[in-house]
Amino acid sequence: MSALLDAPAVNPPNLDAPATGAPRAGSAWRQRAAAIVPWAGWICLAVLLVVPMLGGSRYIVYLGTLIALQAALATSLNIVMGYAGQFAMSHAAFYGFGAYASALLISSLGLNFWVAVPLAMLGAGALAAVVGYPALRYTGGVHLALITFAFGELARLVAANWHSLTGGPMGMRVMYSPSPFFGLELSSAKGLYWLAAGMLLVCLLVTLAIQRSRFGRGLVAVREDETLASFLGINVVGYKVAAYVISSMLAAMVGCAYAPIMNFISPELLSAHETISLIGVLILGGIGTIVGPILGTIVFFGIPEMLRVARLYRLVVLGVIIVVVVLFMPKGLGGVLRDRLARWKRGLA
Amino acid sequence: MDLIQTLLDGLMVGGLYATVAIGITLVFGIMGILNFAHGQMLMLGAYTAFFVVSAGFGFWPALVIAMVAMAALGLLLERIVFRHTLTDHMQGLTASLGLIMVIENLAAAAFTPDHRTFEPPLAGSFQLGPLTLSSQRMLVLALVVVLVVACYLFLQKTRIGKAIRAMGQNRTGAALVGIQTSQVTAVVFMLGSAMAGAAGVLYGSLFAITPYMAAAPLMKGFILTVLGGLGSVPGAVLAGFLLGVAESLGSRYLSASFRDGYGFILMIVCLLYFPRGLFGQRGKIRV
Amino acid sequence: MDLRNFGAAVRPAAAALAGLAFAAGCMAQTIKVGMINSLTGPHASFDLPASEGVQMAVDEINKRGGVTVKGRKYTFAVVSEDAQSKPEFAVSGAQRLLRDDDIKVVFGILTSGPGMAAATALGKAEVLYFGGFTLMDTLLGKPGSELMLRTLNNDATVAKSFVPASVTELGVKKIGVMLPNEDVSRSIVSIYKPLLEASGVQVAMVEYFQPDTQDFAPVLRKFQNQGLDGMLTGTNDALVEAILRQATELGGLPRKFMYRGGSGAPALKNAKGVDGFTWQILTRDLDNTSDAKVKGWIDAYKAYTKKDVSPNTYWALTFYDTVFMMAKAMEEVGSTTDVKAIAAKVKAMKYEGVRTMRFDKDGRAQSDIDIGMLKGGKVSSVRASAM
Repeated sequence: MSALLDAPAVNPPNLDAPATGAPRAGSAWRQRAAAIVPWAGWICLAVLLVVPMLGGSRYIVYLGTLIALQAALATSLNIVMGYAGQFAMSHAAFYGFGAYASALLISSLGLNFWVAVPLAMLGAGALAAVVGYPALRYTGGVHLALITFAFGELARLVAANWHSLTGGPMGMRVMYSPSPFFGLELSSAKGLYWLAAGMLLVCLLVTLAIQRSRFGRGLVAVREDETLASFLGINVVGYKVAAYVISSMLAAMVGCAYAPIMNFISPELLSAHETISLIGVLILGGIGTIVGPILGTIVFFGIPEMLRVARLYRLVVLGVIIVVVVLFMPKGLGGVLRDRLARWKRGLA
Repeated sequence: MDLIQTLLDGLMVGGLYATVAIGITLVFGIMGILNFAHGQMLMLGAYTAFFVVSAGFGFWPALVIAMVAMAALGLLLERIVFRHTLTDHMQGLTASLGLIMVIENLAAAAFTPDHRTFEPPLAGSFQLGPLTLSSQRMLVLALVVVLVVACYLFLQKTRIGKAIRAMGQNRTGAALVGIQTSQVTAVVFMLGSAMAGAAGVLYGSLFAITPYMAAAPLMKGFILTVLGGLGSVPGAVLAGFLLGVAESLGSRYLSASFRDGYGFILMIVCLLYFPRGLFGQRGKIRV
Repeated sequence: MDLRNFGAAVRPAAAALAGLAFAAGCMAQTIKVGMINSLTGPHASFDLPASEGVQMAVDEINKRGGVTVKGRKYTFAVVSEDAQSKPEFAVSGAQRLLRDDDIKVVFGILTSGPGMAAATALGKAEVLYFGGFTLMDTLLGKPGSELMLRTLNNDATVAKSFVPASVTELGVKKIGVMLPNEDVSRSIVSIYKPLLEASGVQVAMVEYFQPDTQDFAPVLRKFQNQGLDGMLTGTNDALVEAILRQATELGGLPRKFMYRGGSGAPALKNAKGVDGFTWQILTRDLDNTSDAKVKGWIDAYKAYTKKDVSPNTYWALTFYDTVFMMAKAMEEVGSTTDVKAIAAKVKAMKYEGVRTMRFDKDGRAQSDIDIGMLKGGKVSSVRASAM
């Protein structure tokens, strides 16, 4: 959690003074070469996104959709956990909230999908503000962790018991598809894949925007040292709440996509287990980096799914990885990669 | 009549919750770490008892063995994992999340998710005046009280107990007067885990044992830790009995479907408006 | 080249070629059959035997040479997924089956929670789905479910025979209903309550509890001191076992139970606290039977699974006969992939297997059932014919 602020993605940072003496001769080309890496990363992402479109395999499309959804969810959690450093254990609850809210708005009120999504997001945002504001007044992570954990479980209980609204513990069937988006039809399997991929892109863009803004830098300052940040004139509580609200709204947005893709929503979607898995994925991939959530999701979901590893063992391995990473590699894979890149750039080993 | 029985039920359940909460609140008070994996000790304690009883050894040996085994496991975890996260509390929390995933899913793979039960030492009910009381439940209540009192005496009267309380009040000060902090943290983990293991055995004697059974008691444990004040053992215990009674009365006279919800609402309200809990001294800096 | 030699050379060659062609025609191809069941978790008590039944039937068909469709021989292979008693895993298991484009028929799931979820996924994909769960009834008969068939009788049909038989056997007059807070429970109450009242029983109270309840004391206490002599409860063995156990511990509760569910196991495990217990055997009672077909099947089951018969084994008959019906339909229709035709053929069939199986045009099973009874320590059963 003490990872340094991400350097801006485009220009090679010439403020990045080397740790030991002047750069060695020939490292200038390394700097230029290293500058290409972020672009290469984006191109890789674009390629990955297009892969499911090639070939006709039903399964690759399904897998791609799942991974895109999870990656979007992890990216949204990254905003409040990675950049702001706050332990929000309610993420899955907002995910489920978005799914249920949009499903109810569309099935009962007959609203258009593209109207229901913003409405669900607004609802989530309001809820997050109400829960987050009192919880974030205190420093230290424990209060927030507990309150959000309790809120998440409470939300799950409500979803499981409010029969008339949510269909109770055995969940709700969802039979609609999103209406076409500017002419792009979204009801087929491939269309739904584009929906998920689109949500992932939105989350990434929001993350990028935050990262480069004053708000983002302020968040990192809060993450590093709250008291100091407040001395610098940053509205600590305001920034924390804003991060939490943005994260939760994005989670709700992704939840709205979950409903038509899986055709089925159950209260288990809101359980703490889901959030804990997400945190694990984030830690694995690297908190506070852009590529981290995606990397973590691919490693955690994609590889085992392709190898058909049983879910139980997958979770055990994830747990072990979390413990190991926390103890030995707090920056996660993404962080380690970034550090390696930075060192290579300077011409060090 | 009914009221008294419901109250007794509530005390019993609350006492079980409190036994779990003691471990959580102690660890948090001493080490600042919110150990999410604490519930797993309860689950493993229950399974230990199941296997011991199934092997023919009876309930009381099972209880002792489970407590010892969990104490050992607690020590192991403290040495391997939590010792290294003393400086960064959130890392400790995260590590505990990882531990949950490992332990819970290994248990599910090894034991299968099927419900297990074992024969409790007492069966049926008995009459006490106009009351019909369940024998095993009363035994559990008695045992819980014994455990809590024993823990209290340990903390008050023994040297190590006093060292623990000293560390809880002021870590640096305790180190200054020569208390071996590493020893104390190890003892705290062992004590908490043993208590959770005992709670697991008692749970198993009444209810079904599954690999996922830790989730509910863990939540209750957190709730109590918060209600009682993070770090306060008497607070957690009192809060435990209160919560148990509240739940029991609520399910009996209001809605039984929403049983777990009462506790959460209490906890959220408490966290928001009474951050110090009922008895806690630890406040948090407001920024 | 000498023409006579040529003829002499060609004839054996031709014979060899013909022989090869014949052999190729005889070499069996494989039809993949999908199966989604809760092999783990509380619902495994239903689904695991059901999965064994499917495997058994497939094995028997293969042993007798498979099916012959349009002159070609086919054997079956079963691809199995675990729903783990949870809706989410049922969906992902169904999706994993669907990713294999060769799978056109799927069997499985006897419980409504995972079942509804899986059925939704399977329905979208145009596969022939044979399921067993209660709420499937609400899906049948609607447009888009022509490829769905339920192989167990629905509640309404079952209750019509179960309720009067239970009331007579147990001799109850005033009961309470205690069920988990789920959709299935509400449909159970709406069916059973009028039937109970019609049999002269007063239904004094209906209580729903949180489905993952461990401690039933608060709910059970509501039933104390109400003058009740019996209870209707459900819906799976693990739940009812816990309820019976705790009811015995608490004391002051009725000792006669009607179990809307499928085995006597909960009562047998708590025999000291139970005076009477009836349950529904939606296929065939395996414990007290004089039916030769059933006895023969039991022996085959023991030989195939190397297991003994347990109180839940009868669920293995859920899909057993239906597998044979599917095979027969494929042969008669002349296709292994035209699911619409195969479904229509199955619906038109009457099959005298271990159970007498018939489906109506919506895919609802109309078969006869047995009712299990435990009274005074003795277990017996009664056959009730289909509507």
